[in-house]
Amino acid sequence: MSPAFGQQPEHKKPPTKEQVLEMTYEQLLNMPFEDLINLANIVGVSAEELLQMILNKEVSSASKSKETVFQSPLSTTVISKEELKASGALNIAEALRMVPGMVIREKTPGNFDVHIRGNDNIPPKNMYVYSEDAMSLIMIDGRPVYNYAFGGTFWETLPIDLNDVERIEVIRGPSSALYGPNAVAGVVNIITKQPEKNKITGDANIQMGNQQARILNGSIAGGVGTKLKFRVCGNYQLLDRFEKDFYVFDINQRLSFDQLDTLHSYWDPTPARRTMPAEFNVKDAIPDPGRGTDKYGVNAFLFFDLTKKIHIDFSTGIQQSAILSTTLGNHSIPLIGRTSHTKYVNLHSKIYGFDFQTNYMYGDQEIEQGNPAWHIDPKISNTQLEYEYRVGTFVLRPGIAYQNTIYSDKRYVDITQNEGFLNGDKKLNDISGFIRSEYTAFDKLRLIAALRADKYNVPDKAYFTYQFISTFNLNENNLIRGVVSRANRGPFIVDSYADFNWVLVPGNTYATGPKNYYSLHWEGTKDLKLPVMNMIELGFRTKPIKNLMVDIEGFRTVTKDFSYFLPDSMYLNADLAPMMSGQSPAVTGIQGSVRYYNFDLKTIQTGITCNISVAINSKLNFRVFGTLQQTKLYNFYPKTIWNNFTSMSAQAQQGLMGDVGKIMGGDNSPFANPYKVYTGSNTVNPDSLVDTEHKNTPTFFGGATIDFSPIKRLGIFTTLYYYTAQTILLSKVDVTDAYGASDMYKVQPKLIMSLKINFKVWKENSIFFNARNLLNSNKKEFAYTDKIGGVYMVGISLKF
Amino acid sequence: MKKALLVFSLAVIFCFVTVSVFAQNEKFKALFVYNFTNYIEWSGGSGKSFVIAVFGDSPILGELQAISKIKKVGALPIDVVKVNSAVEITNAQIVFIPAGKKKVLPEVAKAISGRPILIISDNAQGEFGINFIEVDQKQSFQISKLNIELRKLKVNSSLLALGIPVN
Repeated sequence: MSPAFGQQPEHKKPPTKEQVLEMTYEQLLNMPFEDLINLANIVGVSAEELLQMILNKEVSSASKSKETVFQSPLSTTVISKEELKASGALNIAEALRMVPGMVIREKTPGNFDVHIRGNDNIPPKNMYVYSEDAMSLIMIDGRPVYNYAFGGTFWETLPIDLNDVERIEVIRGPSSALYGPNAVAGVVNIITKQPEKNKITGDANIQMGNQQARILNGSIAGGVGTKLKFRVCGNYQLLDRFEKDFYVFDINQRLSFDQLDTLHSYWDPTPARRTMPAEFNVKDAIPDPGRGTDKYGVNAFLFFDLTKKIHIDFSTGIQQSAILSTTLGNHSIPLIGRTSHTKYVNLHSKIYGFDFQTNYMYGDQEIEQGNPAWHIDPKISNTQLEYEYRVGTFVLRPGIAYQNTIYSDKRYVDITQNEGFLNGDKKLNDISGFIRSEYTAFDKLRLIAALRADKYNVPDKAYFTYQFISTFNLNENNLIRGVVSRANRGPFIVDSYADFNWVLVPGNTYATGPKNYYSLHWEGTKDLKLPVMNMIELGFRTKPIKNLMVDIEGFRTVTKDFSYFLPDSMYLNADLAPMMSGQSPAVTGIQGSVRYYNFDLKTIQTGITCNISVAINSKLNFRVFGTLQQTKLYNFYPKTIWNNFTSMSAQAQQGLMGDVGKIMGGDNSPFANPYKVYTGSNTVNPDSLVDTEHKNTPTFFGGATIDFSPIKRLGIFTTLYYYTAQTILLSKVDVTDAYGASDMYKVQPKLIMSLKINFKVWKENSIFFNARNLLNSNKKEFAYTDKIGGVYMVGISLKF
Repeated sequence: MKKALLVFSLAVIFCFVTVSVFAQNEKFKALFVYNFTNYIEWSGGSGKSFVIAVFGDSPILGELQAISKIKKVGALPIDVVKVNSAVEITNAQIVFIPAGKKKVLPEVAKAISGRPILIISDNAQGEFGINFIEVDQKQSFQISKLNIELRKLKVNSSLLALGIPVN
């Protein structure tokens, strides 16, 4: 090896890594810097630095300042862009299967039910809408992407794709003091990519497979001068179902789409009574019965680095999606179409110590397709200002925030006829003030306190939340930490403002024709208490050897003030006059009301999560993680909506039969006023509340990732995800006895193995094979939803 | 027993390779630091030696000391010293802040504010002149012309071209 390596003719082969490692200081010191850089590139980063990159990534969500995962004061996991790409995960929700403490079930192809640490479907024995994860806050670059209509996240409506993600940071545990309402079970903050260089670069990724799988995305990024950078990106996904037919609760059978002539036909289990006009047409509700996911998004990002202390980022984008997901209420089939067309703008600036962010999202969403009452226009704005004041190791970060949420159905229904759920513009807003302080003593002990007050318009109350966090570095390789925190969920539009005439509720078996349906008024409650979670958590992190990092967290949460959807009264209108001529009394209608109530329901969850990361060398690293947990329900009201309907209906009918009995016995006093209203009511008897184990959250859930690159060009990434059995309790039309459909659905244990094999053909351009659910284990992952089988794709990834 | 011996042997080989590569990487960082000196127009210092202060314990200390035995900066011999606090940085022309000490960067920057000292950090963010980073698992560096010039030093434009310019 010549010392003047840089002067060698270009056609000569560059030295190998081993040859570079054998070079002396004298040789290296005497060559031009450019050549030294080339040699450094051949050597690559050291194993130590590789471990740092793999095991101990940087995170900013956990304490709102950049630090390593090892030092993070909260239970934190970071998935880097390299892992996201290598894993082959199809979307952000699926990628979270690589994160400890996540319960993730695929309902239909491409559509996921995501929960942090479980605590899902509470209160159980209710409608599908209660199974949505209303307790986790998902954000893109600090912008909440939350569904304030009834809680949860419509994952398919995220405008970005994995190709746009720099890293995903997940915080487990109540964090609303740092992030605001709905960060109850935890936070998922998705950080998007920024261009690294001024040079124009781009990428394009295409993969195709069975189930019509088409996954496309691409981007162009670059800079103009030294102060402006940009990135423009787009994504498209198409995935078909594995099943073409549909389960029908009311008859406990699967029917082809053509047999589902109208959803309404199956409201009533008795064929003779299927005489009502359709509530809504199945072809409107499910325009494409074979579709799982069909969506696209386009985004543009601008980054201005005006001076060293003035940074302004701006982003905007649109998304459009059409998927098949679970219904909100209790329809005769569990699946229905959902569409979304939304746009957003987001401005984030850092000016000296100030951090200012404002954003706005608007569009229209058909939450249940074909049901105009659930076609709504969301308009959501968030504005936040923080200031960081730092003196030595003391940091103070006060801030204020304002959120305004408007949902409206007025474009789609006649609000004068109360055809919608909301019947007009409904608003929720939240003004909040918060402060975060941090102090580090002796370079070892770190104390963090975060306090926040949120004042809502509905309920007209202020909620106070907190996080007290302490970490102690035993030494540089061992850290213990503790968290005491409280978080609250925010209010929802539907819980607060529902105003819906539910005219076609089946179950009145007393009369035939149009009268065999209840007419109910579904009403929001503006003074509901908001669910609050308190947590105590202890954690330990250790790096016993440089290749290994172990992270253990033990937690106990107590959650209360859940709201519950409960029928509370029923009125049976009858005309006794026909009895004067020896005929039966005429039932002219049944009305009732359904409202939201708080109960004394309390849940206690106790669990432990362990994550072991091992970086063997630059070719092989793996992680194994799992959560063991138990959730108990106290003061749980075990009756379903339909139990209550039946009970109230019986009360009202008893009143009617009492008068009928009188008349039959010769007492004609009821004829004095033959038009009668008989009532039934429902109050919750404390004796009916029970304590029970909540089996909706699996006792164990976890997984593993194995990243193996036997040669530089070849990458093999394996993901394993596993959960134990679960029992999902729903409230369905009460036809169990007649047809066998059950309110209780047992999800079987499932191991999902996914694999991506990537081969770099030239530089960063590669071809790959990507198998999601490689072993084609096609068990259903959620109650009455689709079988989820294997998706096998091939693709190319280009970078220029 | 044979299996145990094989595992043990592999572990030893693995450890050896890891340590070797790690040392080599610190060696490259030290070589980079030395090369940076050729692209900066220096002012200040004692005039007797070119002082590189390394914050805390770091393997780069030994690597820089090895270079100091072979090379000079201009006509000045290189003096590599270890410092444990910002106040100990007196006559240095370069202060190196290893990745493990990156938290002290704001404190150091404040303490030597306005003085002609080049701050070189490793995987840090803030007021560095030069900062080592890894890009696609390769050693690279960010360079802030603004921060360097704020400290009354001049940087050759060809160094800006070799690194990743930042504000």
